[in-house]
Amino acid sequence: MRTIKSTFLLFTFLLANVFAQSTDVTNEPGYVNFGDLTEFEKSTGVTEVILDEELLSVLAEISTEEDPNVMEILKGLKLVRANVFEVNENNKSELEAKVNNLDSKLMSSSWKRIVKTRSDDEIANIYIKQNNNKQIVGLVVTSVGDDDEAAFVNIVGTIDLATIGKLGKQFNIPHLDGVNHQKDKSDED
Amino acid sequence: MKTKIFFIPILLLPLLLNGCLRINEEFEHVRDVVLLSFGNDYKSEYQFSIGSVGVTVSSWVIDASSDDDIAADILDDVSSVQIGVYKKLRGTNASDFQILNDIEPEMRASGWRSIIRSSTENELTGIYIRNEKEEMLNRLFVISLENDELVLVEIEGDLNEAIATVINEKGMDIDI
Repeated sequence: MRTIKSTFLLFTFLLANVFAQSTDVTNEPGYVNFGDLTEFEKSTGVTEVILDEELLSVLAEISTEEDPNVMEILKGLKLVRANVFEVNENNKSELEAKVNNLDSKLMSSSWKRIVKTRSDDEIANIYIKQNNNKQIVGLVVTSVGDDDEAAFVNIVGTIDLATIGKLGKQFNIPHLDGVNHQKDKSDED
Repeated sequence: MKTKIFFIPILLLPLLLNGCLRINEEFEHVRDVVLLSFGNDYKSEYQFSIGSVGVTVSSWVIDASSDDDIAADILDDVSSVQIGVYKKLRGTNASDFQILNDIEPEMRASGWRSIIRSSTENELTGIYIRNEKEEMLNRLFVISLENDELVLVEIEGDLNEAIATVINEKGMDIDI
């Protein structure tokens, strides 16, 4: 009897562990931890958007006759997260350092940078993570722009680059327009 | 101006036809957490709840008086609304994003998860959702501070359709 009880408890524990792992988006290959951003939350303009799988799946259920593709894109997604900060003289260099640190971190962990923009006024990078089947399972946008905003965006889930521009338009995510063309160029290189 | 005209019947008719209902304990709890995080520097201006009858009547009024029937469509699926309006008594650093961080653990403990949090010079906004039924967003909580006025709103109902209506008609523009 004791053995049955112990086996049942162990089985329950393992099942709970497996379930917890499967539902935790932080275990997804396309998930990126941007680290501690609280330092930048002291600036005047701060926006954080977190759309989790549950919300995205509800939104995906809502099909529109005008543009069903956007909702189709949402179906494969597990997380859309965006942190945006107003850039000022006090935080600009720290934000640029954060973007550069993330660049090093992503480039050393099998992420592929498909867009890199460097100018006097702007730094912007876009990265993708592919699985073994070459499917894109994660996307990251980091930018410190001359529009006085810095953005850190992570999209987790199956992403179709051909339609990613629509996703960017839907959520007003900067720099996603034209990603497909950049990816084609990157592949040619 | 047009929006204000539509909101007057929303607020007045339910009070006349359905009576002014008290906010529930859960709303009070969140309100206490929020006000504490704001340093208890706010006094209550209005606190009330509108039940399903009031919401239905409001949707009829809006439907009849408006060319733009999005609000009426949304209200069709709303079963109750709780509203609290509070006025700032003393000057505090109210639009600090850190306040939303302070509130976050309590909101999570109460089952709310944030979808949008933002702060500007004069404005602080937190939008939280909660679903008690599978595949249905049925509760929405909004914390909005603008200048000296803090507004807390909880909406309950089948909010999937409400979100669908907004997306269909207006598009979901998360301004980042």
